[in-house]
Amino acid sequence: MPAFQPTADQFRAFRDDPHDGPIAQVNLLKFRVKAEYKSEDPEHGNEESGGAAYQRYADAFGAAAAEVGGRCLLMGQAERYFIGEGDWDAVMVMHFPNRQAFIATLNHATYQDMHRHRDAGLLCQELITTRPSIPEN
Amino acid sequence: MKAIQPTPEQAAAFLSRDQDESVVMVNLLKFKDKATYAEGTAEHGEDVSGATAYLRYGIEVNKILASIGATPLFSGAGPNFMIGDGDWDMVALVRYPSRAVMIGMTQSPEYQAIHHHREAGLAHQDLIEVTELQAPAA
Repeated sequence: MPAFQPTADQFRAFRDDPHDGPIAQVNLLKFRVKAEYKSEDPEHGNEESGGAAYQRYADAFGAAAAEVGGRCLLMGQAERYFIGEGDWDAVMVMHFPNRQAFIATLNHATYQDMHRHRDAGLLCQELITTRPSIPEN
Repeated sequence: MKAIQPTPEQAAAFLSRDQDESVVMVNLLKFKDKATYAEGTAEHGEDVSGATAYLRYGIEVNKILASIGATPLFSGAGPNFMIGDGDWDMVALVRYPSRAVMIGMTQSPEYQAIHHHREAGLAHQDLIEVTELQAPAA
């Protein structure tokens, strides 16, 4: 089932998960071929890809996340499937010190404003919350 | 189709691209409930989970990655789906300095020597080849 938002149950499960350490949010992303801004958006009518619109959201989200210790581990364009078969266009992984920091980013003052870029660019996605381990370099 | 290896077409497509370009390989992993070591392996008959067998592979493959200049970006256990309804047990990202280095690793004797742990533990996986865009401004 292509999805765009968490269900109410998924959001509650995320919020109430007792794991209190760092999380990595793995976004598997499928973009619209063409961005679809709403008529009231300043970008309405722009001739551009869904990926270009989503990139504006990703930049704004990354800036808001940085205020609470979030950082991007990977922003990557999918070239192809080497094993298996799926149809994602991009993979974005964001690291947060804890789940409260992620929720704080969703509640950031700029979030409502940036969200139009996600709406315009994104067709569907999966978001996988993981407990990351990052090797020492 | 649930897979643990590339098809010949997938392998050929990978080899047809710029072999000097850096890539990140995104592993979406699903483990067997119980490991199935093949006859003839030292671990044949061991009563361990698929995750345990794959972890053995992971420990050894990280040593190989270090020796070839590849960087494990992270591995994430205990996945929960916040959006969508997939079914993976682990996500792991590795950055390779080039496609040639990635292919060379899979063909090396050192890698072949540890691969039975992967085969024993892994039910199936997706492996997505990505090229890095500029990370969101921070």
